[in-house]
Amino acid sequence: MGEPDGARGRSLIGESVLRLEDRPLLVGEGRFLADISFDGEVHLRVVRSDVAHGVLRGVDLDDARAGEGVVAAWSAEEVAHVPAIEFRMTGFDELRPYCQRILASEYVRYVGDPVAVVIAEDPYLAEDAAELAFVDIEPLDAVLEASSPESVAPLTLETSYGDTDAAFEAAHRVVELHAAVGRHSGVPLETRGLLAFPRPDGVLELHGIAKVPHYNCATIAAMLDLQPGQVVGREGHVGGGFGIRGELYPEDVLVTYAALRLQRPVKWVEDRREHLVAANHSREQSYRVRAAVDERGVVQALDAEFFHDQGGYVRTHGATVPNLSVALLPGPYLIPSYRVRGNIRLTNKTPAGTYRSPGRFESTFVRERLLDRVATELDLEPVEVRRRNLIPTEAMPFDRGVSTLGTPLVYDSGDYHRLLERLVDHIGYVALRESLAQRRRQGEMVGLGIGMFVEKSGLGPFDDVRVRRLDDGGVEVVTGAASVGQGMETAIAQICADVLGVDYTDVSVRHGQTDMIGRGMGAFASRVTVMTGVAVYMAASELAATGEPAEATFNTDHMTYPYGAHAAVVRVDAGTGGVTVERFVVAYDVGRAVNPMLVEGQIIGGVAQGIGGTLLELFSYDPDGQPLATSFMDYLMPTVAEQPHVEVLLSEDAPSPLNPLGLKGAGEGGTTACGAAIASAIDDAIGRPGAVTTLPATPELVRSLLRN
Amino acid sequence: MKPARFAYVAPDSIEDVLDALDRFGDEAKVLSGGQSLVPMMNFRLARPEVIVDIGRVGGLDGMSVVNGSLTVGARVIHARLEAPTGAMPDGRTEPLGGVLGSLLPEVARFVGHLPIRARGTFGGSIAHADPAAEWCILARTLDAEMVALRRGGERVIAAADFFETVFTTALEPEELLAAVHLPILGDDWRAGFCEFSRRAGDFAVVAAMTAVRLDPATGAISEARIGVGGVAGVPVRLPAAEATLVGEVPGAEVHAAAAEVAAGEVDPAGDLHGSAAYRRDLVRAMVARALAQGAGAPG
Repeated sequence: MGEPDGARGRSLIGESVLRLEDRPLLVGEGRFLADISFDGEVHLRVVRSDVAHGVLRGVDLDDARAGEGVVAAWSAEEVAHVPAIEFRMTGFDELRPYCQRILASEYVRYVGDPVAVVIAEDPYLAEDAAELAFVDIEPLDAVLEASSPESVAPLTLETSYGDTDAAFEAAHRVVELHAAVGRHSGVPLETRGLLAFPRPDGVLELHGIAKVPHYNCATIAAMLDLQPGQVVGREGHVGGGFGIRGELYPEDVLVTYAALRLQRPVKWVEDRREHLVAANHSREQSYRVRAAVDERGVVQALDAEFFHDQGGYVRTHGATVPNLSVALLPGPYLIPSYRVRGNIRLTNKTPAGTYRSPGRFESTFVRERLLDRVATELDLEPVEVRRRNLIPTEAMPFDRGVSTLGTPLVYDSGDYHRLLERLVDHIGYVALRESLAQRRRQGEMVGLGIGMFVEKSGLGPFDDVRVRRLDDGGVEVVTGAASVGQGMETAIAQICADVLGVDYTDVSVRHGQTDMIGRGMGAFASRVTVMTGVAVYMAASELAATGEPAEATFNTDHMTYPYGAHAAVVRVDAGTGGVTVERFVVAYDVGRAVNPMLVEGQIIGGVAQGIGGTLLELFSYDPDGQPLATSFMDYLMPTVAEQPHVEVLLSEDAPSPLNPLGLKGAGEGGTTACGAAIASAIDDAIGRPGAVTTLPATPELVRSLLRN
Repeated sequence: MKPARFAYVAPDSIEDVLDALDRFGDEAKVLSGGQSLVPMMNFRLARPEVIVDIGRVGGLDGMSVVNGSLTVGARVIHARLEAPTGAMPDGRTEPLGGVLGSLLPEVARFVGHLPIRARGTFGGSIAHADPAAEWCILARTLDAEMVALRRGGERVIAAADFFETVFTTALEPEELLAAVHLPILGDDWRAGFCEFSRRAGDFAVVAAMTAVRLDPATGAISEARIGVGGVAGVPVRLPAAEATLVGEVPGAEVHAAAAEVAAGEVDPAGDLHGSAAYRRDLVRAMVARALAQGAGAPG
């Protein structure tokens, strides 16, 4: 397979064409879950535990059933035959006892744990009736610290390479750090929801399904003893994914079960308060790390232990997040020896899963803070320490010596030094440092921070694509991938159109419809542009050669590894501890950008979420395990006023050798080093190297650093 | 997040509103812009039996200048205070000048976000009585007077008596807050406002308003008002800090000294957005900055 489209001289791949997705959204033709209705539909409301940990003695639904318009109300006995929700990824037998049932029976394990459902003729009546459910819970002590001895400890992930002990014995200096990232998560504007429609032909149509439609439909069918094709996914518009939306949750099975049992369309639209306690949380990890460093500041060994707060159950992601933390903690640096213990612990909080840049936002914060500390202790420039530790391009492909998500971690390509120098040049590192020093002399608290990272993308193992020409001259692409709003239709259409020499607007991309294609992996892990993109390239090439409708499968056992560097300039208000991000720069190498505008959009949005987790967003709990951030007054996502202009340095130095287009994914690198870069910039601003070791760096935290 | 069942009436005259309030008493809640009440109903934190919507009532959305005060009708939306105008005694409507005319826009821009300012009302905010709400702090600091109507009667309530505790005022269930009188503040006054919130548009963690009156002969402060929100169940005045200012000529040291006293004078409780100690810290910063802003100096 050669470079496409040599003949026309100009490739559509690399063009910032406008999004195919935008028109229906802009003209009010968006069809999100709540926009969809069927005649005779009824509405489901989940009754949730309001106790963080307790013995569930009983659920009395008599009053609820007597409520106006109530069709049915069930507790766990009704669905006792339905198995717990299995892992979709990174499953371990040790974690299986902690999988979540669709309704809790003997114990409740977090505030928000579903204990019953009420189904009524309208959502108001359903909410009224749900208030009448009497849930008898005998409270137990809530465990809220993953590192506490009371937390359940099902599994510790351990890995190592090299001789870490010897490196520490030989070290010029040992640099240590305790650091932690607070619990936060993706909060898509569209909350979760599902509408299950039982068709007369016995098929159940699921609307509102997202991210992994094939997997979810097949799994729900299996859980409910249906035939595999009996549950069909109808993906509509999806208002944001970020890892959390579209995973298989108890509500998805409950809604489908209810539709089956009642033989009526059943609709559930999650409200925001539910969302903030019921959808996956993420990020809460605390680390103790130490580096064995030589005289030049080169890290010879890294020894790390962390605690991963999994919350009340292990959900579909299994051990994915801590697994990624374990694998990617060393990041872009050589680090010849490494040893890590990642302790997965259960607590009485909302279960955790992946969120944009899972395991990398956390581990990058910790690693980059450690590198900054090395710089301080050896009196080196932070940038210089990174130069001395980066993996050289000659070492590519670089076998990290560990595995993640079932595949060996081999960085496929990269010129990390070049990217760092590009960032350094762009910001005018030396002059910028001087101008910030000048401003500090005049009384301002301003500072610069830099963080580097390796991302991962393009998770296999396969993607199928079907391409055919339509009678009207258009081209249809059918894929088992999904759209979560990221622009995949546009990117896939561009690749297809590039091969076929047609206008990309004539390509229609059909996705998320499980009865149109036999299997599909969906949209996660920055995989679609790589996996679906290459599959469509293959299928379109065959169509171009034969003139016949074509199918292709792209298989791969390896991920691709984009990499990046962030720089942040912040200003600290000495009186309040408030932090303003004045400037944010992201240099990111995605191998080859199909649509640079979309990549920039991904990066800018990713930065917003990174800033949220760094400065604002926190799911906090009171000592009894009551969640305190259950509305947008208390769960603080950044607004446009908190978001700086983001300068994007899109780089294509290192196309992936693992696919014919050189593609790597672009969905997560805007987020990865936000915590690292901003924390470093705050240190610089307040003149306290290494001061910020926990996120979010709230104004109160920063102010307390200034006082001490 | 659907409200519990409620009945809804939307009278088109004040008399009918007052009749409805008289009839339903504490089962009723007045709906003005709905920017606080409706979310609270959706969370089912508020469960009124009857909503009395005053949106169709004329005569509640005027601003007029009478006897040295600005009367703000209860249904004046926040956005109008970003560029306040007043009907003069001769009937003309003019931009509101003077110290209050400068202060109101300075404060209004902190109220929520534009969509909130376009629907939420001044009177609604005062009657809702969030202790960190900008208008409540302003009313308390400037000793505003609240005009409460009931069937067959009217009374004026001083700000000091109006705010009782969180979300609780001296208004009786039968009463409607119809208007608020704000002192215009003569040219010898200097007023400032400073607020710290986690994000633009959020309720203040702590906000402070200051107003000082200068002796034209000496330039010294003859009268001082400091009002702070976010540190108690109601917006509070800080008399000890105010006292330190009287007789002093405004300046950084004087402001810092007053701010220090202010920080010691409050007794805040902590919550998710700030511990007691941090809020005390913020009082220091906000009071000093409001004073500096009033004096025309950078904080």
